[in-house]
Amino acid sequence: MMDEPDRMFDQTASSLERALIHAGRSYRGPNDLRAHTLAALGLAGSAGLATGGALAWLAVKTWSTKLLLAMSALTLLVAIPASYVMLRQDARPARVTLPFPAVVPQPSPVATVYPAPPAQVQAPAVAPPALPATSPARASANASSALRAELAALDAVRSTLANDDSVGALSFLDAYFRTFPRGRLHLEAEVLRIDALAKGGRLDAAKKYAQEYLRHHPNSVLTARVQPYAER
Amino acid sequence: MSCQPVTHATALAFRPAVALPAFGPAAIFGEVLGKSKREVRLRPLVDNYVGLVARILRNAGTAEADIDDDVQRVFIALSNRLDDVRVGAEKSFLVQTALHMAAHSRRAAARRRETLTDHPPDVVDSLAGPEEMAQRRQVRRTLDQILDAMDVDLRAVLALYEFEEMTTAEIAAILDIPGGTVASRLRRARADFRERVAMLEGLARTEVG
Repeated sequence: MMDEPDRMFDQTASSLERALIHAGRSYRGPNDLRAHTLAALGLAGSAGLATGGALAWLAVKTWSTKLLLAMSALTLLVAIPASYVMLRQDARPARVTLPFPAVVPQPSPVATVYPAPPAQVQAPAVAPPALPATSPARASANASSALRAELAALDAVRSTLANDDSVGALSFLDAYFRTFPRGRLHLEAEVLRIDALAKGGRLDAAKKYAQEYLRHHPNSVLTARVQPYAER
Repeated sequence: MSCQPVTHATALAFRPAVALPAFGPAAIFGEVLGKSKREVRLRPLVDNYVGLVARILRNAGTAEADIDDDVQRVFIALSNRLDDVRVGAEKSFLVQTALHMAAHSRRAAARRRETLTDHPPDVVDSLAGPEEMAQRRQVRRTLDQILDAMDVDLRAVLALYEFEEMTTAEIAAILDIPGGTVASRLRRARADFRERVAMLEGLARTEVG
């Protein structure tokens, strides 16, 4: 074991040196770094956290407990698509709790052109209530809350896609783009759209979207994920 | 280390989307459990190390504007290599990858500068007074300028030891160099850093006087 020299921060008499070292130690990175990283990894937000925790717990329980939990989980897995079918049959959104701000998904066919820019997105029928002038702290909290809502929306897309319901996933994606026309996870949502199209057998549309994606975002961190679709 | 060093190219190689299984209890539980193992391992790593990775990237020379993307790339690299990374060695992998990524970022930035201008940037473009120096942004800019002027190997050791407060043994393992080399680089890095800071302080006193 070699002797560790004292850290410069503890031994220096120079205030500038201390300030510089403190700057190096205290760098935090941009806001929402964690959320962006989780989204890039395709890890679900709050729902994923719950799933991960539950499954870790599941791993140490007895077989009888596992069986009970498996039955419960299976019921949930059946209930989710059933709820979605009910949602599509009944336009009253109050009967179904969506995991993000309520926008009833319209099961319209998805166009095979790249999505319109945010300026052309149809405005919601009911304008949101005007917010009072906000402090930076309040604005930051609002931004964080909006990002959580975006993550929840994309979680819903992933869950639906995981249940082989590509049409439902595309509808949720349409709802996401309408709800968050200036969302911060648009790139992740675009990749999910390509996944959903391919999974639904619409390989030509997936390819077209993938090629458009690569043309618009050649340096995106998700480029390598989209590449295989563009080359099919 | 149980894993190979990661290049920027491998870091960018995102695993293609996995085909989902057919709807059925066995398929679903296989997929859900398989996915959860990855998720259960990855999520705490993001929670615990996202700040560390951002800091190492920044202090090793990645531009502020590229931090968000490069942090994601580092974790994507970990995700792609998760099965090769021994449990407990994830932090080392992340630090190594971040240093590689920062090196790539510095080279790209240097190429951009060469394209834009024939002149290298000034080491210090202006000296601020004590009040302004207290402002975080100015201090950060000064730190960047000092670090950018340092030798890359010395900079890495300085950042890991002084900013991340790692031990010399940890640094030796991460950089895959002998402990004596770490100690030697640290001595030289500190001397270099102090000399540059002293020069700044001297210039500041001259300006005030």
